[in-house]
Amino acid sequence: MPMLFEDVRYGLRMLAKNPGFSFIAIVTLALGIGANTAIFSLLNQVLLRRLPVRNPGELVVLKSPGPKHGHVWSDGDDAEVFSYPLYKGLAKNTAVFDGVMARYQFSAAIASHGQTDRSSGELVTGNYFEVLGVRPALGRVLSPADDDVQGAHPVLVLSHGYWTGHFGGDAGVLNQTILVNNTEMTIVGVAQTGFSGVQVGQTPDIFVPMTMKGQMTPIGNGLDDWNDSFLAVLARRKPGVSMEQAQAGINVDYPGLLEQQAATLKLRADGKDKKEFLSKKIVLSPGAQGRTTVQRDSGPALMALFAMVALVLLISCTNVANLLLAKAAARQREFAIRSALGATPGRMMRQLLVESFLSAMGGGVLGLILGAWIMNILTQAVVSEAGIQGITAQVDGGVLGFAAAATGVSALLFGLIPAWRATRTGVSQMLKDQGSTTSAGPGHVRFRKYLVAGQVAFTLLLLTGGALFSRTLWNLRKQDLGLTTENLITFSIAPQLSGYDEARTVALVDQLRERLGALPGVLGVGSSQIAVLTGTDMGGNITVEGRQNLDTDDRHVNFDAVSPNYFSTMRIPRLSGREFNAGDTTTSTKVAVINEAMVKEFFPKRNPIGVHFALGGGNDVKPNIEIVGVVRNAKEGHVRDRERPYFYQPYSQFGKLYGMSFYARSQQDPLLIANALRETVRGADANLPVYDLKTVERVVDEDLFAERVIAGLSAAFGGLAALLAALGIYGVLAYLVVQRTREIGIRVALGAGGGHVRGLVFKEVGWMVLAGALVGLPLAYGLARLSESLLYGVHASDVPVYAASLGIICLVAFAACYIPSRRATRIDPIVALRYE
Amino acid sequence: MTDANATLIKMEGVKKVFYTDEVETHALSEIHLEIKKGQYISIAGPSGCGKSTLLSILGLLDSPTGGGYTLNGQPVANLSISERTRIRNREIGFIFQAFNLIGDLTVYENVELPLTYRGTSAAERKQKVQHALERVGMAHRLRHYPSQLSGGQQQRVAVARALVGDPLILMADEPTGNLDSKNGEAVMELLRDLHRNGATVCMVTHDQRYANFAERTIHLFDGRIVEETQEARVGA
Repeated sequence: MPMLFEDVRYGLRMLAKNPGFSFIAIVTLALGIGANTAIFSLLNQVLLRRLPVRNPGELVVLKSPGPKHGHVWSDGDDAEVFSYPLYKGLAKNTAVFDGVMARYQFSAAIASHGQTDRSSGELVTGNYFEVLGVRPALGRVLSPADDDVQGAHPVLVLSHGYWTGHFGGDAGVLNQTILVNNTEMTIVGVAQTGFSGVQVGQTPDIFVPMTMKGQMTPIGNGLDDWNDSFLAVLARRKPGVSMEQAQAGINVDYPGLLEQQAATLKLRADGKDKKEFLSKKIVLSPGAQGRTTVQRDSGPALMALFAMVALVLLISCTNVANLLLAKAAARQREFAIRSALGATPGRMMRQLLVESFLSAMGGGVLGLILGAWIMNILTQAVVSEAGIQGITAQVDGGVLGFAAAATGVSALLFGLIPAWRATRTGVSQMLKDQGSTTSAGPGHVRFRKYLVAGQVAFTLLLLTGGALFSRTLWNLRKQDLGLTTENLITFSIAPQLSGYDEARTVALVDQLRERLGALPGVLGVGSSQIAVLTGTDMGGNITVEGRQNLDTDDRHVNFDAVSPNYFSTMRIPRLSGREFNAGDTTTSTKVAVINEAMVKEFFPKRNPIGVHFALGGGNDVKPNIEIVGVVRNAKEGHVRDRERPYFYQPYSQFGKLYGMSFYARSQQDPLLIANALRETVRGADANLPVYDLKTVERVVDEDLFAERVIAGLSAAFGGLAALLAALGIYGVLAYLVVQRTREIGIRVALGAGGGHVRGLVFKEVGWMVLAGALVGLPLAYGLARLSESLLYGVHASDVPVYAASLGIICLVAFAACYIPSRRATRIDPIVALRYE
Repeated sequence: MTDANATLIKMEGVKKVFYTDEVETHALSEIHLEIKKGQYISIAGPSGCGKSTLLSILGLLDSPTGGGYTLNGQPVANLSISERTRIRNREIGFIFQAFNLIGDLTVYENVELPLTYRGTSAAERKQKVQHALERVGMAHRLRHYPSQLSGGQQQRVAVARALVGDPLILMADEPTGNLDSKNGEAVMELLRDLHRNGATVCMVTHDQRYANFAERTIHLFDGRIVEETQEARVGA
């Protein structure tokens, strides 16, 4: 131990003695460790963290892949949602499960302290907290007794975050009533700290009994409807029951439940549809992390980013290893003396490793600070732009542990080989080197050149990734959205949450459109039920007049309810027929405007104008919606979406209006009319919250959030890697020139001109780049193939991307060798030959 | 190979001053020297007398601070670096005390080097390298690396490298300094043979025995020529 202390003291002295080296090593490592720590923090919170509940490993998520009928409300995978009657049937299984629970997220307008906030709520079955094993921090949690009769229990539990954030952690909130979606609800408890639901990215503020759905989502109760699928279902396996046993157990009951649902559908008895429907199974997936919607969506991107930062760290370590090798070469005499005095190679290695660990610790501490700063920026963007709630920049034990591990691994990576090599050269070897009558060949520095070649390979990986993701973003930005985002602003309202029924909602929207359209500077106003480019969908099967429904048909289309002037305001070109107008009312003929993709799919050889269709399948569906117009395809869900069949109906004829998004096109910067828009809504109803007021360009930006982050970070990582590679190349070449001074002197004496000498240096860098490219390019291609799902409009085999990456690394390499080559040409042969 | 009595090198009042921290060091003063083609001249003197500085200037590795220097009729005292390099490559062959072979090049590649810089074709290089190595008795070691040769063999290779470009003059700086007496004698015999075949040789040595191999010796002391022995006795 005292010897270790001596080593540490000597190591600190060495760091202080070489401040330039120490600074570069520590900053290089800090960049690598900081970037890794930040991305790990995100990865940990999104992909790795388990639910803070009792024995999370026992939880499972239920899915039922296969055909769905009726209304499906999912946030990703339709197989993951069930109707309430189906859930009730599944919940009766007590053979393999200790409990089966369900939840549904809803928008909550919570009025308290004299103001109404739009918040997030979760409708949960009475056994939700019991199955999860979540306890109350205050009062009580919900129980099955709160969930036995529809509409009978207006109670709720606050999340711990909402309680502290909105009520200041006041214990007096118990038994207080607050207005949620226009319904008076009593607060009965606060959930345990740290618990924020069962889905990463969603942080419900309140938990409400499922049987209050009619009150929380007034337009559409759906609790009695076998064909209204909206519930995510999780269960807890009994102790000792394996996943396979649990899956087999739940599938004993499932066919009977499907028979009950099938009885409510008008499926042909001998049809393929029915056979497929009844053959569906329940599939269980691990539920320790809850529902993995966000994990599924953002997992590949996060893993790609993590791979990139790992490469950055590897490059940082390579750089520091290279520096250490140079430093060790300069300290050869010291090691020879130590060796002569009796130090064993192991003892000297320990000394050098201690010095490496000290540098790494400096890098680790600085990296943690840098990482926290990056985390802060990243998490703010993730929460505000990607809408993934609950992600924080907190440096917790996991992040600290990761930073410490990254520091330790880095120290070993960059310190071990230089230490081993430095202590391998004996005294006699050193003396022999000094007395040589030939110039030293590059063999001495070969290992360092391998390291630089490795750096070039890793940098190529990052540059290629950066180029591919940047092109993806560029392609998405250049996408023809089918609508014009310039000078367009949007906002949304949810009248149903403020107690509006269907008729009042239609009247309110009519009134708002008229008032907004009259605002100065507004060129046009339109509205739609679904906010464009927010990833929200409505869809179902249709039956078209004069077209036979076949079992093999894909008759699924998406749809939206829009206002008159919607298409002209959005500048979605009309190809034939007409737009909606004031004459399309609740009582007039039901009409629809369809897009080109729907024409292509359903009317390949006929004019669709005047043809009727209906939502739904089965034998007794009567096509009652008349097609009155055709418009160009426009992106509705995501910028990435492919063209798909889509139809629009007038909102006045649609029925259930859950909310409405408005669009106003202005003559100038649309943010200038933002206040006027808000005031207009306030003028119509002072208690109606306006949310998501932003330009449509910002909506597009938010939709491309993941692509922007990946492209931005990968380009930054590529740039950082290129900079580190340049430093590495410079370091090796500068060392090589010094080492080959005598050789260069001889060559100059023999008649080598400046070009020949520069050629020597360029040849060195050329070999390193070539070796790096030979390894890096195939690896880059392999990784690009793995990441192909993240790309858009560019393939893993895109030659210009690889050529550009190679071009950049060549430029960087040749820029890095400019100074060494210049130094080499200035070697005075007389001075060089005096080395003898 | 040579025009007898034609002047190859003419130095008039050459001086060399080194400036360091306000201190002037006069390494060479008022050097007047004429070397005719085909001569074998040695420059002798104690350590620090300016022998190597003079050889550096003669070999265009350095330029004089003052005075005139004409090589083969061309004034060379004030040439640019690239011009000096070109002339050095074509007109002068160097033999160093420490051989100065390049460690990671084979014997063949070391000898080939001056021709490579001259832009000679590969076929011609091959023929000339082969011939030069045969002249020094090292043709059987083409693929060897310097580290695989003895000191005497390395110096023979260095001589071959100096010869390969058919230079006007061979400049040898203490060519036996790193060799034992037997190998030293062998190298001196080699230089004498080359001279007998017409080569002009200018050698720096502090060893009087080897200085006597030359037909003319100039003695330097404190940067000045203090004595010149004409028609020195040939042979040890």
